[in-house]
Amino acid sequence: MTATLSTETRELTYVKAFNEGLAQVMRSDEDVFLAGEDVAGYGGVFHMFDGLLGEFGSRRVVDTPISEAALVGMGVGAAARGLRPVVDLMFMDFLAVCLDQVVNQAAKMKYMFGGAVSVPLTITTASGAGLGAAAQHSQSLEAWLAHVPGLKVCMPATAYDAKGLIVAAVRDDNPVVVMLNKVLLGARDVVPAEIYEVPLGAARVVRQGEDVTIVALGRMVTEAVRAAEELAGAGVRAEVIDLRTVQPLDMTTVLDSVRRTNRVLVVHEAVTFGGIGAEIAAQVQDEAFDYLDAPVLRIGAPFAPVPFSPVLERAYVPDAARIVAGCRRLLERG
Amino acid sequence: MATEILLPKLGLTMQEGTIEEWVATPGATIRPGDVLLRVGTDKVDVDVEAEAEGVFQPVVDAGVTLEPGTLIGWLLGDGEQIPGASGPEPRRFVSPNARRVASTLGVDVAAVRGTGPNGRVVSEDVEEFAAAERPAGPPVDVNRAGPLVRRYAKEHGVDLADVTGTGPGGRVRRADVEQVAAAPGTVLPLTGMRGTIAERMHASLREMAQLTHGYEVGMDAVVDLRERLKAEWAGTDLPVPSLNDFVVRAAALALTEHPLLNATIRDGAVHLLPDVHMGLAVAVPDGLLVPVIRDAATRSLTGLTAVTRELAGAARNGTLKLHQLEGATFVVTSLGSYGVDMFTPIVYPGNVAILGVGRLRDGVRWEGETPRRTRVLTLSLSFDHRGVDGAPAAEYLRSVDRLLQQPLRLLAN
Repeated sequence: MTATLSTETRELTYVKAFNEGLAQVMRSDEDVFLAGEDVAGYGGVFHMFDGLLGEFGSRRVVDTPISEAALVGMGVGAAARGLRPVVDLMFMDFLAVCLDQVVNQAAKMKYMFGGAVSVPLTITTASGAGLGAAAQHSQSLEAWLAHVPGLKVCMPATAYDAKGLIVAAVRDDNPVVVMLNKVLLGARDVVPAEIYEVPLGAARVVRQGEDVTIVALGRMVTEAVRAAEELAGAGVRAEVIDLRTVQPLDMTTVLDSVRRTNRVLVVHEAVTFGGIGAEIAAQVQDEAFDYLDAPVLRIGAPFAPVPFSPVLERAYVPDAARIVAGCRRLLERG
Repeated sequence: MATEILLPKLGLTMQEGTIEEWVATPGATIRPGDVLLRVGTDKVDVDVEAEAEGVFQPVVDAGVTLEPGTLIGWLLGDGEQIPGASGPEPRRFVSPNARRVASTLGVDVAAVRGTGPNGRVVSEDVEEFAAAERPAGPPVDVNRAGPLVRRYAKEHGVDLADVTGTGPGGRVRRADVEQVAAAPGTVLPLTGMRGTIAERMHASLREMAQLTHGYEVGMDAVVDLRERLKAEWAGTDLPVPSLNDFVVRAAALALTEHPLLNATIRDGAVHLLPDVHMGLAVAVPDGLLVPVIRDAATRSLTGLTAVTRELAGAARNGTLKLHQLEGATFVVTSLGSYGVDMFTPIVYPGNVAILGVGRLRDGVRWEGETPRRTRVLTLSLSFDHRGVDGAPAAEYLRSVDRLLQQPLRLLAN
């Protein structure tokens, strides 16, 4: 973990830490404002924005109509004109409704105007399965966004990062999508009271090991740590890397680890096909082919929509047991 | 169909044969009766004829010497390949990292056994291979001694570093190693009596299921009796029995009550032996000998004592006759004079039990709340569990104990 800025040890939930970070960055910069569906009076469907309307007033905390395209478009325009908007897409799945604004406007504007315009826009959204929210409210679409030059994408896996990454995202001069994970909202962590940033594009080695590297995204970091603990009981020392940001992608940390362990598994909640795992696998074989003792293994969701049935949903989302089995495959020796 | 050509056995005593010449031309079509090759043995040269037909294909070169029955060629059908030789070698999988590590360590991956999925060679295999190849200890200076001398030194437990080379440039010659190997204290070859002991003791443990009971026996009565005998027999020819003689006598008498311990196991059965021939382990400078008191159970204590003295003296003087060393049905061995209390003697091959005698020492007997000094020693009975269970072995010890506690019985004939 990045050095704690306070001597006080205080635990906060992921959602409270995010809320605190956003409030602090709004306090520190009057150009920051929040807009979205039910973010003001209701405080957001996941209480991500509780209390912000009371502190910052309706000029800086704005409820919008149900039109993601209009909402993000407003954010792009405000950002281009010098403000630092935070716009909230309640569920990541709604990204599809406003992709033109995200991909063709926010991501392209600086390039199209020869650098004369910056778009310091932050898009927050809740992603991931596990709450029985069905196929249209449960997706993890980071790979879509990471594919687009001009966007940054981060996936906080801890309360500490939920705060540090929202602060870093708001202060970044480019469009950043912050993907909060719905299942992690109640997860607790030691969170400093002061404002701090977690740098975009810096992965974190959660746990050191020599035998196999587990690269994890978002909620899968928790599962990877559980898997590593189980493997440790069997004498396998797994290194766990929390990517934190998928664009930019911190391959330096990943490659350093792979060159030591010679075996790597990438796990994400998103569908395996065309996921970030594929990109990491490709880069690992590009840069560290001669250090591999086993093919890069990807663990992700099957190529299917997220099921509504809780039983099927549990089977669909990767977990520690699948990670353990994957590591054993990589380490198998006769 | 492919037919094997094997090197024939030409006579019962043929150990090996040399292919003097392939008479048939490789690739030629052979018919039964055609001469294929000429084989030379230490006695004769013989032409070997084909017993089947086919296209002739040798698999060894002329001039080689082989055992009879070795495959030396084939008679093949039209267009047929040599069985087992067809098809390319199966692909060998080596992980990229294993190749890199092998190159760094200078290991030939072809020599490494793969343990990964599909037999893939992984870096750990290469590292383990390299570690196994690396000599333990300092590297051998191969220029200092030739391979034969190095092997000779290894076989004789000689470290080349301890050898002064007298060859050209200080090179170690075999004679130099021999000199060091012959130096006193360097090597104790397992030959002669030492070899016999090594072989028999190891054979005993290899064959039998041995275990040992330790049993403390009261010696007060024996010690008292012996003091009286010493006083009363002073000045007579009667030999005063030693403590060990008392134990041997008791052990022999008890065997008549417990014939299971005076037995031998062979051909899948326990054979109870009618007579008690008591072996006595006697330490001699280079090892130990086991002279035998024949019919020990029928001898009086004084008779036993006389024979024991005679045998022990002959053993130490090296004048024992072969017949005095044969036929023990049970052995008594004492380490009491060396201060040993309890030990695990190894059963003499062919017996089922051996009795070890410990040091005579002070014991305590409680009379109510009052401790009383007593004299005790520990008997260590090793026995072969194949034939004797723990309870009967313990009962035998109890009988010996009873006899030692009532030693007048030992004086009777």
